Formats: sequence, structure tokens, C-alpha cells
Amino acid sequence: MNEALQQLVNGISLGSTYALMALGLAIVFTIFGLVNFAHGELITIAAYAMLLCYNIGIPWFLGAVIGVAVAAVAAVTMEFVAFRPVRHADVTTMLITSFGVSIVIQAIFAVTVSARVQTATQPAWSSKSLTLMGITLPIYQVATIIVTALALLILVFVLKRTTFGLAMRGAAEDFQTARLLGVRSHRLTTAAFAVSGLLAGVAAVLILARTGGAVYPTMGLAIILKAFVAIVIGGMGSLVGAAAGGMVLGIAEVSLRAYLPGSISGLTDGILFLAVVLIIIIRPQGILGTKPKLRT
Amino acid sequence: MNQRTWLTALRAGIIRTTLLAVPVILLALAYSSFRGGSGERLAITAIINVVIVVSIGIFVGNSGVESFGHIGFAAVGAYSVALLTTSPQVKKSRIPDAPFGLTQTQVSVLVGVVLSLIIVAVLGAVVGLVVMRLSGISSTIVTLALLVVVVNLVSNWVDLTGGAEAFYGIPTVLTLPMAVIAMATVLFVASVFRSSPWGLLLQAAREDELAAVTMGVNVGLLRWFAFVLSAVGAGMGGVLFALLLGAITPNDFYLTLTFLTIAMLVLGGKRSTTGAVIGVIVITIGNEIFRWIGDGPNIVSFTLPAVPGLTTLFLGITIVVVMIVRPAGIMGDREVDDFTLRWFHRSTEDAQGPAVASEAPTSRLVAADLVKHFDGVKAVDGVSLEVGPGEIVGLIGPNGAGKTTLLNLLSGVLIPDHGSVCIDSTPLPQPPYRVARSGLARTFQNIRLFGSLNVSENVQVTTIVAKKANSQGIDPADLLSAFSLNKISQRKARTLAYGDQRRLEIARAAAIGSRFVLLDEPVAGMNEVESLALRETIHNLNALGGAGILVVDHDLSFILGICERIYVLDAGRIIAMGSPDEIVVNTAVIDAYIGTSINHQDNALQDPNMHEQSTTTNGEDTR
Repeated sequence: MNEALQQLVNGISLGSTYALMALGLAIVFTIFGLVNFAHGELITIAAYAMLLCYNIGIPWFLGAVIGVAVAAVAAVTMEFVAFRPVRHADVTTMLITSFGVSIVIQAIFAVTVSARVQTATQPAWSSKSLTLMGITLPIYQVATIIVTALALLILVFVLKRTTFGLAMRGAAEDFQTARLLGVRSHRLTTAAFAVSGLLAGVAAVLILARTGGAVYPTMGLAIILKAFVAIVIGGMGSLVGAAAGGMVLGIAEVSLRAYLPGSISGLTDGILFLAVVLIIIIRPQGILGTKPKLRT
Repeated sequence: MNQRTWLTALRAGIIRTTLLAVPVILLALAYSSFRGGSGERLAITAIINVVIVVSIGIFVGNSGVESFGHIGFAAVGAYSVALLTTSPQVKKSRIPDAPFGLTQTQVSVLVGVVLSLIIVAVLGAVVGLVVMRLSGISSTIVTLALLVVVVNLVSNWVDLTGGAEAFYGIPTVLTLPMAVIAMATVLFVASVFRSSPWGLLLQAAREDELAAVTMGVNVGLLRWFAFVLSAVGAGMGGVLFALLLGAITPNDFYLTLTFLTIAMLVLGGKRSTTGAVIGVIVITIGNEIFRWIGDGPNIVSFTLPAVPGLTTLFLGITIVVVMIVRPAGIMGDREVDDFTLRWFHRSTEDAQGPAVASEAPTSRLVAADLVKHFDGVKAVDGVSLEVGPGEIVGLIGPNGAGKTTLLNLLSGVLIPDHGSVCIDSTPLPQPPYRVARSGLARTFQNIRLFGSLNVSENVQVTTIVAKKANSQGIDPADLLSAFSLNKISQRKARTLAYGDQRRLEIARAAAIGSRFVLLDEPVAGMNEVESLALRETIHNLNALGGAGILVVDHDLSFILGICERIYVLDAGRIIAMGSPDEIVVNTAVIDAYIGTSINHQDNALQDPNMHEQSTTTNGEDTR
């Protein structure tokens, strides 16, 4: 029982980072129809920014804030440099562009820093645990869940209660109409990418806490693949679905790793991605989605 | 006019393969003699990349459906040939407990290659069943997911593959001539398919899937076929890599190779076999230059610092720049033989005799009590109508009356909730592509042409289908002259003027040798002169094959001028039917259609569904 509970917390904590990434992907996808392959590199960029901060002695919290901010700026820059020129191209052109951007960013870090794993020193508390009602919880997991919940609450508030949020939701329904009705498209684009960058930055801080600060050029890749899975589970185009899909994925992944027999536990990723294929065939609107919202 | 037949495709295949293979072979020989053994290895690697990239292009280029998963087939091919051809001594130490008794098995390299390709083909056939149903983002994610699944399985099925570490001891028998033969084969298959009638149908579906389906193209089957073909090609690439390297790991066939091949494909142009070859050459040369710089070369007396990762940076930047500057790639739709040897493309026109449908058709199109609801809105609510042989029938009605929904039902695009559509008391077949083959074709309100295909090819799509359906198609050349499109037969459909596009769409529908043609708002957006010209066109069409024609439009004067009989639709029901003279004096028609009567406005107020219905069916229109 305790073990199951512990695995559940473990899964939610892993799922939280997936949820943050999937949300960022979904925001950009619903508005622009762009599946941003380079979204994972925002994590990498934030992580390298934090690595730099800690190497020159900036305190942890300040470094984390800088990392998040850098991710947001990077997302906006990415859009401005690479995605704006292909805004009116078809879905595939945009996708392949983002794929290229992803490779470029990975290569830049490999060329300028190193392809090897560097360590961004994490604060001592992140590796400690606390015991609650008989279950031992690593502090980073608790922090991850709390921070993700906060981030989601703020996002929901912004989307539901502010003019900017209204503009975003309108643009997600129909970008052209929203533009015609006076939504400033460049500003909205910038804002949407900034939000997706902020979410990725927060995810980066949490991921570093979990991995003890391992920073390397391809660190975003594994996560972005999982975030794709999450948005497929959640029904592409739904923000709530993306967040929930991330959670479901995290729990499924942790359970598979924990309960599959040792000889085949390595197949966890294979099983999850096979599940994605099945979901797209059987329920293209996602497990949680109600209506298919793919653009033609 | 260049008509596409398997014969012309074979000829194009031979010419293109020669034109592409010769420079690659010369480059390979030159580099091999310049650099010796390592040069030859690089040349063979590049040739294998040609095999893989051209193969991916067979599917991606012709179908327009993206795939990030083809390297998975290369992995399966490579591991299959490795497991089948490696000597038992090596396998005993590496995979002592392999299933299926593979530890003891060893076959000759040739048998191993054939068996591996069969394995890949079977896998491709199964995966193809999934991929053929997808497009857009779904196909990208599914194919990427399948790549992850394959590599994950290969890395973790330790008993079979030895896991993530290298599988070694594969016979390294691959020579430059063998690689060249493999490349030429793949180039030939890709070129023939691209220029073949089947290739044309698949390209039509790439341009506009719905239009292709309503012209009778079996999109799913063609996509599946192209997918299997390209999977086998990619598998061949994997087989060659295994036989070149002698040692492979699952990671050799994962994202790095996927990045590389995609960069090569998009740089040259996904749709062009020539482009695929150019992409491989340019990227290979670029990679070598950046690798040389990255290794820290000695220039005169300076030693530059070593910079690892430069080649990847080059790949990424290439992809981004190509996508921004020239998303169709260097070649776009063109092939090497489009530039050279033009005289090879002699016209095949003379071979075709005029083949206008000889006997007058006698079929009747009968719709009985059709009902279609959208979320409770009755778009079509109990409509019965008939179109006789050679008859020109009009269907008019105000916006939102359900005209387009009715047309979609009649052409099999939508399935009615109730009622039936029959041609000579045979119900319309399913799925939709069979409807066209049974002799019923249509046009669309928002013109749906195959934009990057030329005028002649647009019409040929339908004539090819007509031949498949054994119906008596009309010769494309005759048709183009009948619709005065013969002078612009080589222009891309996308570049035509509006009126020409309308005419082409009608010609394309007529080309199936249809017994019935449904025209959806053919004069929408046309001025008086163009509208008159179109009237001529429709009469031509009627005279050409004796097809029954149903014209849907708002334009009352147009309909009155051309039709023998007119149905009036309002709020999903037929409210009147008769000759033009009867219709203009019918009060119900004046009420509903011109909508000036006070009585009608009252109705509208009492029936809150009406407004909603208008918007819903309009939404339908624009799909």
C-alpha cells in the first residue's frame, strides 16, 4: 500500500514535468498549428543558463529565476528567427523547421560547451527526503508537485480572467478571425511563445533538481518525445488534456518501470510509444479529448 | 501532351536512373582513387544514403505524408541480415540463447539479404495499414513513435540482438559495385513509380485528398503500396550498412541517421528523385568539409582547434535555411530529365484515337427520401430527386437550404441518415472512391484542383481511374480541346485564372466518362461574360458524353437559362420542381428564394432553427 502510494507520488512528480512541457507544446500548437520539436531545447537552454549561473557563484534561487527567464527569451527568439518566416507555410514545413532548430541548438551547446554531461550544483535540500504518514518523499518531488500546481493555477487564471487570456483562447479557436477582430498577432505570438518558454524553464528547474543537475546538449530530446506522447493522450489541441495527459503518462511510466518484470522493464518506452500509436488509430481525439481538433 | 502510361514511366525511369547514377558513380570513383580505402568507404556510405533517402522519398514525396520512422526499417533490415549471415561461432559468444535457433543458423549473404527484405516488407505492410490512414501531425507522431518502439525493442531484446552494445562479426562483403547496383535499382523503382499512372494518382491525393477520392482514386491503397515500397528501400539501406560496417548498434539507426536523411531529403526536394540524390551529395560534401574543420586541420603552419559537433550544426542550419528560403527544396517538383534531353519526351498524342462515348447512356440517378442531420439540425430532410440520361437539372435554394449537403450525399462524401441514392436501382457503392468509378463525378464550390499538377495531369488522374473502372473514358486530349484548355495543358493548375480553373474542374469530372456530373456552384464569383462562357462549357459537356448533369447554384438567371428541369430546396426540403417557366411563377419559390414576402419573415421568426441551420450548413460548405 505504502509502496503503491509512493509510486503514485513518484508518478505525479514525473508527470508534472511532462505536463508543463506538454502544456507549452499545446499552447503553441493550438494557436499556430506548429508542433514545436525544438520545445525540448528550451529546457536545455535554461539548464545551461543555470549551469553558468552556479559556476560563477550566483545563488540557487536567483539562478533558477534567471534560467526560467532565459527560456522565455529563447522561446521568443526562436519564434522570431525561425518560425515567423514559415508562419504561413504548411504544417510539415513548420515541423521540419522546428526539427532543424532543435538540431542547431543541440549542436551549439556541443560545439561551444561540450557534448559531455556537466553538473549544475543543486542545493542540499533537493536531495533530502521527508517522511509523511509513513511514506518517504524526496523533497524535490514534493516541490515539483507544488510548483507545477501553482504554475497551472496561474496559467488558468491568466487564460480565464485576463484580456490577454481571452485573446489567446480566441486565437486558439481561429487565429485569422482573432486577428481581424483586433488581436495584435505579433504581440500575441510573442506572448504565447514566452508563456511556453516560461513553462519549459520551470520544468528545467524541476528536472535539474530531480537528476542532481545533469546538463547535456541532448537533454531536451527525451523529454520532448514524452511531451508528444502526453499531448496525444490528452487529445491534441486541448490544454487541459495536455496537462492531464502528462500526469497520466508520468504515472504510467513509473508504474511500468516499477511493476514490469526486470527482464522487460527496459521496454517501458517502447510500450508507451506503442500506446500512442494505438491511441491515434482508435481514438484520434485522445483518451481525454472529446472532439478531434486537428486542422486540415 | 505527355500522357502518363507505364511505358512512359519505364522510359523516364531508365533515362533518370542513368542521368543520376552516372555522376554519382563518377564522384564515387574519383573520391575513392583520391583518398584510397577511406575514400571508398565514404563513397559507399553516401551511396547507401542515396538508397535510403530516395526510398523515403517514394512515400513522402508522392503521398505528401511525412514519415520520421523509415530509419526503423533500416534498423530491422540491418539486424535481420546480421542475425542471418553472421557465423555461428561469433553468435555463440555474442547471443548464445537467441530464439528461433538463430544462434546455429547461418545462410549465405544473398539469401540473407532476400530474407531480410521480406521481413522488412511484411513489417512495412503491417505498419502501412496504420500510416495510410493518417496525415498531417498524426503521421509524424505515429512514425516517430514507431521508430522509438523499434529501437527500444532492438536495444532491449538482448537474447536476440545482443542489446544496446555492438553486434559484430557480420560479413563485410559490400563492395562499391554492389552498392551501385542497389542504388540503381532503387533509383529506377522510385523514378518509374513517380512517373507512373499510380504515382500520378497518389500525387493527386497529395494535392487534394477529397477531390482525389471523389474522382475515384483509392488513396488508402496507393499510400499503402508506396509505403511498403519505400519501407523495403529503407530496409535495403540498413542491410547495406550492416554488410559495409560489420558491426552495428541500435543507436546507428536512430535519431542521428533520421536527422541526416531528413536534412538530405528536404535540401534536395522531397518530391524529386533527382532532389534526393542532390541532397545526399551536397550534405555529404558539406559534412566532410565541416568534419575536416572540426578535427582541427593544419593550414599552412597553423593548427586550428578541434571543434566536435560542427557537422551537426551544419545539418541543422541547412534544414532551417532550406525551410525558410525554399521549402520545396533545391529541385522542387522537377527532375533531371526535365532539363536535359527534352527531345526524349516526344508526344504520344498520335497513339490515342478519339474515344468519345459511343452509345447514348440510359442511366437514371435516383435519390429517395434522403435525410441528413448535423447535431439535430436537419440539413437535408426527406429529399427525393431524379436526374435522367442526358438531362441538365438545376438545384437552387437560398444559403443554408442544404444544397451542398445534398450534393455531398449524392456524391457519397456523406452517408445519409436515412434514404438512398441509386444509379439504375443500384445503390451508390462505398467507400466514396467507388462512387466515381460507378460513373458519378462532381466539382466543388471552392475549387479543388490538384494544384501542383499541370492541366493535362489533372485530367489524366480521372482518365486513369476510368480505365481501372473499365468504363469508357474520354480521351484527355479531346476533352482539353472541347473545354479550350489544350493551349494551357502544361501549366500548373494552381497558376490558372479563375474561369479556367472552373472549366478544368468540370473537364476533370467529365474525363471519367461519367454518366452523371454534379456541379457545385460553378458560376460563383463569375461575371456575366464568364458565366455565359461556362454555360457553353456545360452544354459541351452534355454533348460530349451525354452525361446527366445536376447544377447547383444561387444564380437564378444562370440556372433558368441552362436547365431543363429545376428543383428548389429550402430548409432541407424540396419545395418545388418544374420547368424554368413554372419555377419563375411559383409563389413558394418566390417566398423562399427571393425572400421578400412578409409571410416568409414570419416563418423565420417562428423557426429558431433556421438561422442556426444556415450557419451550420455554411460551415459544411467550406470544409
